[in-house]
Amino acid sequence: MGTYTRTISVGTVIVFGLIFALTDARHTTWQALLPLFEWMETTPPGVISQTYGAAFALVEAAHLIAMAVLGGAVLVADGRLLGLILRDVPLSRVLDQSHRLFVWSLAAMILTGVFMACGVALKVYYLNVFWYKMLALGTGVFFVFFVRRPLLRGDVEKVNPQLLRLVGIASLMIWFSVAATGRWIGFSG
Amino acid sequence: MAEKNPADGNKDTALAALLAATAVIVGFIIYWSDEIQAVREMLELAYG
Repeated sequence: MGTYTRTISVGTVIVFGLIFALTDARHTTWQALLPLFEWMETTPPGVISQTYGAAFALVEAAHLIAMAVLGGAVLVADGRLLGLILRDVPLSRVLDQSHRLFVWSLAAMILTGVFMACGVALKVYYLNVFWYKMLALGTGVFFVFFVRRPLLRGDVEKVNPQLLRLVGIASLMIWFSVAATGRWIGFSG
Repeated sequence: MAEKNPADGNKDTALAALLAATAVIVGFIIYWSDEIQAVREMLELAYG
């Protein structure tokens, strides 16, 4: 059993996720987070965002560019995993280079995203879709760093091709959900 | 202390990936079919 620690960890996260989603814990946690969101609006990023529309717009532009770069990194890596693009380039090379780009764009996306959320903290707090986006983003970060990267870091040619395709499809689904729910926030409230 | 066999480690990583990817795909299908169904119901209410 000790040799299957990663599988057990993933299973535990899935079970806890289901318990959280299907019980009252979700609502209790949401209520407990209200003071944090009220405080976020009073922080310097919150005040700047609310006072200077241009500052918010600039940060939002950076957020969208970071999202575009991240989307590109995901499409290139998963497109290669699915055998759709760059078939003449070694898989490990495509994965390593796109992962580096992914990490930087993810950091930029989170940084600018927190800044923007501070400006509209109470608005997003009451939006269901904001929480779905956070769930998708959390799932994405967990999936990339705890599941996908450890699988693809070693000798990737030895991994079952069907599993590689499955991981590629799952990764595309996660980041599609992050992007779609993110845009949805802009059209809500 | 038992040494960890590299083959077991690879098997563990592969099994974890299979489990996580399956859960993600099932969750994605449930969430987006639910959202699409909600939009269809709204459209039906609005336009009959």
